[in-house]
Amino acid sequence: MEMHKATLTALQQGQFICQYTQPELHRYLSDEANRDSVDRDFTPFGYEVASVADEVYYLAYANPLESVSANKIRAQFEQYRDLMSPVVSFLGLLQRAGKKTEARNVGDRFQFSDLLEPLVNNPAHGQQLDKLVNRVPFKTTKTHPAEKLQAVLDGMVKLGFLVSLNKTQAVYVFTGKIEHFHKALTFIFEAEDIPLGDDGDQGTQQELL
Amino acid sequence: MTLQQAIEALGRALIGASADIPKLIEEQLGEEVQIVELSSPKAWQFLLSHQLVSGNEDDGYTASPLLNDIVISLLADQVRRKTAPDVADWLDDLRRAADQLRLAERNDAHADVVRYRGQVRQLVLSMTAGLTSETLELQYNLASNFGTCATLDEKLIENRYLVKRTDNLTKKLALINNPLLLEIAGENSFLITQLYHRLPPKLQECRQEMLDAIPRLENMLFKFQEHSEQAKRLLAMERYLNSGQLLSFEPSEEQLANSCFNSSDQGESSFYAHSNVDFYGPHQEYYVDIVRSMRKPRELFELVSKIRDEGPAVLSRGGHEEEVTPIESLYTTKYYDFLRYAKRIGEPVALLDFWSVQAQDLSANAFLYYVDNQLEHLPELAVERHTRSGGRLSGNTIICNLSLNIPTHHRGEAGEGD
Repeated sequence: MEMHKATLTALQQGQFICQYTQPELHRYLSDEANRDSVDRDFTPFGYEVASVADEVYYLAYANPLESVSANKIRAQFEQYRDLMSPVVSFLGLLQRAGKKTEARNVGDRFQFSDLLEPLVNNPAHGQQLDKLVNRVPFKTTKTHPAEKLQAVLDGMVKLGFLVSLNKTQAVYVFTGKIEHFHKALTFIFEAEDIPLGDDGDQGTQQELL
Repeated sequence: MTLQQAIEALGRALIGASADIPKLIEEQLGEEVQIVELSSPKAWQFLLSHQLVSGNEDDGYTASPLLNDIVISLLADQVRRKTAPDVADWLDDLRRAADQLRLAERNDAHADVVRYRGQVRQLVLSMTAGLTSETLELQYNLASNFGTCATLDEKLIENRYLVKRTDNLTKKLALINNPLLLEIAGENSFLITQLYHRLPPKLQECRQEMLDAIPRLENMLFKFQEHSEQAKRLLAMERYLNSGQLLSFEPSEEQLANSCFNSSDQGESSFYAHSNVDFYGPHQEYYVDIVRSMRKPRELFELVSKIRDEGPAVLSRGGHEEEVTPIESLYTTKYYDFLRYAKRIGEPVALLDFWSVQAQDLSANAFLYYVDNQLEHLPELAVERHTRSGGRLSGNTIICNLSLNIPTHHRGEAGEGD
């Protein structure tokens, strides 16, 4: 019963529940019977439990075309659209600095120091970090690269895309909300009809050069 | 003795007994094997004292499960590094060896009998070891997300290959069935033991593991493909935005309704403002029960009628029959009492006034909350809600009482129960 109430409360507060943010609640919701029970409790209020591939659970409007719900959903869309540029820039930088070819997904982790090193040693990465800290969710007046990076990571934590696993070693892990972001990106990408291009890596290489 | 010395002693013992161990492994019938003259009694004694083999000179010896596993593991590694068993070739070799064994037995050619029995054992071992190796590799890749591959592209290639290979192998393994093995074995007791008693359980086990692994592999492949697409989209989006383009698409409400943007990420304020309830108030424990018990008006009316006419009711909810709980009957009964009372009075009636006289056995807040929610389903009734602001959820409006006005001429649901 306690778990049930805690789950209701977390979802009511608009939290995205994944195994890295609230492992116990995520486990609870992963059970179909529990999820149905939570869903039933929200039905009278016009809400339902939604998920992205069972990686992350969140509350959604059961009647999304009703005017109040529709307005709030549009506000969500606009919020994500505004976040698209800075978050995509950060993820792109993380990908290049970590010399990875794949996008970051739930459970992927990295250490602050591992990310800081290429940002300090590679001027191109450093410039991108400078651009990032001039943008809204990451804005800071700090000048040291470590402080700038910290501001960006704090911003990502605040947005719910990252959690800090180990304070002393500063290990960060991507939460389930990053999967939600990828879905949002896909929606906007297709809606805007952005060319995918096969030269993704070449573009990155050119940027690095 | 240090750990290193112990391992060296084991190595020496295995080398010393290397001529004798295969006799135990190859027989592997759970029966003792007589060994007339041991190659190295000292090495054998070491294996006996460490329970890698058991038995004695008179009754014979057997290999321990651990020793069996070590040998199978070594053979499996050999098979994996060379080729996994090809079922068609393997069946051809098996038929040939079985025919030659039968011929040798008919001719009483002892040396050939030993030789072809050895061939059959080796074929059975290579198949079981090969399949064990295949399933181990599958499990490893599934557990480690193809951990040996450095890049996503490599994982994709390896995963695709493994899906295809496992699928083919399971199909081919289905060809090795009991009637076929019995046909090859004929009435030869040695072949029946080897092919019918020993091989099928292992074949079945490995095939089942492979069949179970295929959907997991396919699911993983789908995820790898999705991750690959995500990476491409991410970089393309970054390029697009860096080139000065703006995101300007305005989706329709229908598009948004079916999208991931349908999320209530507004925090508790909007939720509580919507529900008009102090969820964190002193009676919060009631709310969960009540919210769970809420029904549509028509169902409620039927429920109350049933309770009144027949006592505790059994109703269907979510496809399941369940008995109505006392708290439901109590709240619904009082709710309908309130509707009747308001109809009888014919002018505005405050719920808490009604409660103070007729429903004090219920929590006032919970009853208020329950009635308020039920009345939302009856928009034709004149309900005036009295609210106050704040509480712990500042900025929200919390209902503190409501008045219901049912003029006497009103012919609604409230009158049906009378």
